[in-house]
Order: sequence, then structure tokens, then C-alpha cells
Amino acid sequence: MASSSSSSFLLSTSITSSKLSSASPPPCSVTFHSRPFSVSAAYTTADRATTSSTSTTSTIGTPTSLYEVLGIQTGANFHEIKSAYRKLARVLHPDVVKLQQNSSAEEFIRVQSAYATLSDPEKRANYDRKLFGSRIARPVVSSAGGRSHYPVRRRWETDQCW
Amino acid sequence: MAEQAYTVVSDSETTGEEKTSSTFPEIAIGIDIGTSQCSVAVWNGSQVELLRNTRNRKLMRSYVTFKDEVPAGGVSDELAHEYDMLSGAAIFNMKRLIGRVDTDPVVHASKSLPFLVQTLDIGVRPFIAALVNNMWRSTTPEEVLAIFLVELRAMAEVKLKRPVRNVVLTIPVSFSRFQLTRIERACAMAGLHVLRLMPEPTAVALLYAQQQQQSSHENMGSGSEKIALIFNMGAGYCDVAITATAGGVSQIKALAGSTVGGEDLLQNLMHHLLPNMDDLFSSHGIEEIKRMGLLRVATQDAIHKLSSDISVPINLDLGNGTKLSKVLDRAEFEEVNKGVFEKCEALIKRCLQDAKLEAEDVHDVIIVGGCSYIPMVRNIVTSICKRDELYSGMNPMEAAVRGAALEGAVASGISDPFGNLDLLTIQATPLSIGIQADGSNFVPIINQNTTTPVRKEQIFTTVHDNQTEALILVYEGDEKTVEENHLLGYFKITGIPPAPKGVPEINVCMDIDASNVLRVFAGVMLRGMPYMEVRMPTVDDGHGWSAQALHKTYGSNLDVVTVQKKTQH
Repeated sequence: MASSSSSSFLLSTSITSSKLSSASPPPCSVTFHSRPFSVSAAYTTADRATTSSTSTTSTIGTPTSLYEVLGIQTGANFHEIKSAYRKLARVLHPDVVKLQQNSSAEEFIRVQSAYATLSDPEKRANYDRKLFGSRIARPVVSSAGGRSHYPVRRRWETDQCW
Repeated sequence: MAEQAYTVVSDSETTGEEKTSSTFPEIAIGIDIGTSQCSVAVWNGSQVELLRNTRNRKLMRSYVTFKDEVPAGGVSDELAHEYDMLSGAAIFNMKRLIGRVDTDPVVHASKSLPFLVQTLDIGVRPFIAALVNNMWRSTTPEEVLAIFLVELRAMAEVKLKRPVRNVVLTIPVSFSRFQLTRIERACAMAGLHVLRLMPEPTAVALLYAQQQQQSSHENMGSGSEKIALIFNMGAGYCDVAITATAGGVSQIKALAGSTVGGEDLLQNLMHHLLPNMDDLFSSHGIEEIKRMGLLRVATQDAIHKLSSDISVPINLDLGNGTKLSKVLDRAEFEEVNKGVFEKCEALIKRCLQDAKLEAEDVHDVIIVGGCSYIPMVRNIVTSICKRDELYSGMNPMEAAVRGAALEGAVASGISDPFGNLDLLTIQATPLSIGIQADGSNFVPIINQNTTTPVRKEQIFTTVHDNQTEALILVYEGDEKTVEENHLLGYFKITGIPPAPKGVPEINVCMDIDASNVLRVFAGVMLRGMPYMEVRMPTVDDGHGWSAQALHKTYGSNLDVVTVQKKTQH
């Protein structure tokens, strides 16, 4: 019987993967995809993408806010956030896009990170305060005097460690 | 026999009638290796189909019998009687034993199995052996699993008339990454390429996502989101998952798992029926094994019957003057296994808490696995989830393997014209992964229930002035101290420029890709200093030992501490 013959092949002597390597891939090559990856680029993506438009890490036009990452209006409700996230996941998740593994994981992680912040009411409120604080507050601040926006923005940046 | 027709051909060598394998990507098959039973399923082009063995069975017992030189597994073999599996020649429960050291309580509990499980209690792999011709023949859980997988593969190749290489395997939530490497090793031995190792309840979640999508052909992507709680309890493990599903996308919100299952129910009841069981059977003589088998079968029968009956008579003659005669009722069984049921309860509660959900938020409660037939298990699930009815659209014994087959098709890049494969699982990490820092504390870098793929990082610093080297010990688990977690691996960072303690910045970055491969990067944050990249840091054996040896040799010389996140300026 075919099945027993192949099992005896396995068992007749002690099993070593090298013995079987002709018939099977070595264990390591099974899952370890190697794809180019750079730590220094990765570790700042989220922060830069959201705090500064001069980011150099992204390959496409860099969104300036988490709302733009998800492609939604700043006033989007919870339902819209979820649905936008899901739509992007269907396109960007590495399981869907296998050909461009490199970019898809990066992009999915960015979408995921935006979603993680915006779908949590508390984190979103914090984020909104910082985002709008620096934008809407502009006229208010200028009338109030020369108060810098930087402390606000810096604090957000360090909070958003992912 | 029909099996003779099958030969393993290389991809280029097609036999003419099967062009599909060369022109289309190979569809990965789904395999559910249970502690007690296993099954194989595949996407057949229009739906998921469970493969049957030559005896027309969809569910096969997970065991391998060692006879002389030729072992036979539960795929092709048919037992004349349950006792044959308990003669000492068969190894089973390999899923409970794989990747565990001999100090593990689960390994100790396995000592009452009819085959030999010997421990030295020093943190190395246990000695496991099958009785062949009155001799204990040593083996390993990986080897047993590989033999079993070879049979499964042969069966699938006969049925599908094509070579089978790619598989999606379901695994318990509580498996450590080390255990995952053992499963992968066994698959490699059997010539199988692991496309995905999928936590069992997440496979069920994918099946649920498909069912939801089929039942509502509404606007996808939006539509109504449904929250499902999946409770899976088999012979070896209990898992809980909470998933948010809409438009065919299943997002795993939280996972919780524990090594508790039907085997524990069985052992507790055996000890209850025969309190001095361990002493009676510890010698593992031929007669003792036989008696142990008798007790095991009788107890198992009783548990099965108690799923439908209120009480069951047990009459057992163990041969050596020990006779058991009693009527066991359901309440007694439940009392004996109180601890097991409490653990199940705690798992569900924790999972709800981790998902930040109340029982009322859950739309559907799905219960699968062999233990789902036990009334007490159903009671627990329904009472915590505050509902009268459980989701009924799934066969509890087939849900996981069907989900694995769906994932196999999706991950192989297969699309279905009717949209039945427009599915996606967004997985989450079942356990936290981090490093040892701040003394012997475990500092998670990727937290439990983080959506994958993911990349996270944290800055650490030195504990001594002019410390030029730092040791990174990677652990997995959810306990506060490293000793209680699982050591995955370790490596050293060198070339830290001499500086007062607390000044150098050591960046540790962790990355899990869609195939669940973990990589750890670490280095000093200095321009021009190379980083270390360690793929799936893995200690092969003696986990406790390595940590002890490192501590003995280096003390705290190479320690790191976390840098407090700057909240000001």
C-alpha cells in the first residue's frame, strides 16, 4: 500500500530532515520569506506620516493625517471608520496582495495603526485634540501671542509609539 | 488496491489528465490534527469537501501504532477495538506532548497513558516510547506526528489525484512559538510545506465569515458587523476567540487558550474512580497497561453517555481483584471536573474582557470541538454569554478543518466566480512577545491580541557605565516575570559606545509577517552601526537551562532597562 510504504521509508531509520530534503523543503525555507526591510525606515513611518508631510519613507504620496490614511472625512463616524478599514484591508492585506509583499505589509500596518487609533474613542479624542489643536488653534494662538505649536505636536509624536 | 495508482510526481511531470496542478496554483489543503481525531478538507472548486479515508471515514483517530519496523497510523489503520490503541504499542495525544519539556505539568499528566512517558524533571524533552515486541522503542512526538502526516498526505494524494505539498494546519491558541516550530518540523519531515498555522477558533471564524457573507449578499465592506464568540474545546485544548465579521472579512479581536480538554476530564474521572491509579500503573508492566486500558475505555464510555444520560452504570473488573461497580451521575462528573469547567469559564470571561466587549455585544455564540457535546460545557458558554441558543450552522467536529481549507484556498490565491472565497482573516497574536529588561521582568513589545502583520519597537538602555554589550532575551507569554514565560531565544548586541549608564539607546524592533514569522531586530541607535536581525529566535532544547546558564555566566552585566517614554518636551 502506498501509504505504508511511504511511512516505512520514514521510520526504517531515524528521521533526519536531510534524508528527506530531496522530497521536501528544508524546514527553514518553509515560512521564512526574506524581504528587504530596514529598521530605520520602519520605525518612524507612523509618526512621520502623521506629523510631518516631509516624510521620506513612504513610496506613495504620504497622507498627513490618520483620516487620510483611511481615506475618510475627519468627522467620520465609527461605522464609516470600520468600513473604510475593512475596504482597505481587503486590498492591502498581504494575504490578498501576494505579488508585492513588501509594500503591502507596510501599507497594511499603516492602515491598521490608523484604525487602531481612530476606532478607540479615547485615543481618537487625544489624536483629534492634537491634530486640530495645531490646525484650528492657529488663529487663536496667533491672536493670543507667539505661543509655539511644537510642544503640542511633539507630545503627540512621542505618545504615538507603535 | 486503488492506492497503488498514486505516485508523487514533480510539478513539471504531469500525467496528462490533470492539467489543473500545473496551470493553476496548487490549492493548499486544510488539516485539523486533533489530540484525539483528525480530518482533512480541501476547496474543490466550488465548496469545501472533507476527504474520506479508504474506510469512508471523515474523522480519523490521531495515533500511530508501532509494530516491528512498520508503523501504522489511524488514517489507514482500523482498530479492531479501542483496546488495541491502549496496548502500549500506539502513541497518541502527540498534540499534547509536542514541544514540551519534562517539567511541564501536561507531560506529567501524560504519564498515565498506556505508552511510556518518562521524565527526569530537569527541563529537557521527555522520553517517549512505544511497546514493540515487549521492548520500549523510543520515539518523539514530532516523529509520530510526521508518520501520521505522511499517511494523511498519501490519502489526500490518492483522493485528489495530485501531489499535495501545501497545507494549512490548525493549532491550539495556547501553543508557544516553540511548539509551532515543532509542528513545522514534523510537516517538513512529512514533505509538507506549511502555508499557515491557524489557531483553531480563527479557522472557525473564517467559516463563520463565509456563512455570513453567503446569507447576506448585501453591500460588502460596509454592511452590518457581527461579533461572534467561538468556543472550541477538544480532547487536548480549549480555545476562545472573538471575531468581528463583515463583508467576508473576519477580524480577530481577542484570543485566549489553555491546555485543558477532554483528556483532563477523562483523567480526573479515572482518578476519581480509582484513586490509587497512579501507584497501580506506574510500573508500566504488560498487565498494568492492560488494566489501564480497561479503565480508560470504561471511563471514556461513561463520559460519552453522560452527554445524553443523567447517570451511567460502571462495572469494571480490572482482573487483579480490583472491581469497580458504581452508578455515576452527571452531577458527580461535574463536581469531579469542577476545576476544568472553571478554567473554561475564566477563558471566556478573559477573552470578552480583552476584546473590550460585554456578553450582550456578541451576536452569535459558536461552540465546536468534541467537548461541545458535554451539557456542562454548553451551560457555561450559554450562561456567560447570556443567551438561550447557540449558533447552529456548523458541524462542531468539522468547523475547524473547513475553515482551514478555506484559508488554504484563499492563501493559495484561488478566487471563486461566485465570490465564495472573497474572504480574509485578520489575525491577532495569541501571546505577548517581548524581552527581559528591568531585572527579570518581562517587557512586552508586541502585546497579546495585536493585529498581525505588525511591527513594533521599543528603546532600551544600558544598566552599567561603559557597558559595551547587551543581551537580548526574547520571551513569549503573558506573565510578569520572564521565568513564567517561554524563552524563545537570545542574542547579543555588541559595539555599544562607552557611555554612562542610561545614555546609549538600544532599539529593539519586532516584526510578525502575514505568515506569522517573527523577526527580532536590535541595535544601537547610531549612524553606521549595523543592526542584528534574528529570524524566529529559537532555542532548540533545554529552555530553562539556557536562561540559567546565561544568568550564571553573565549575571546582570549585559542587562538592559526600558527607557521611560518621554511625555514632556
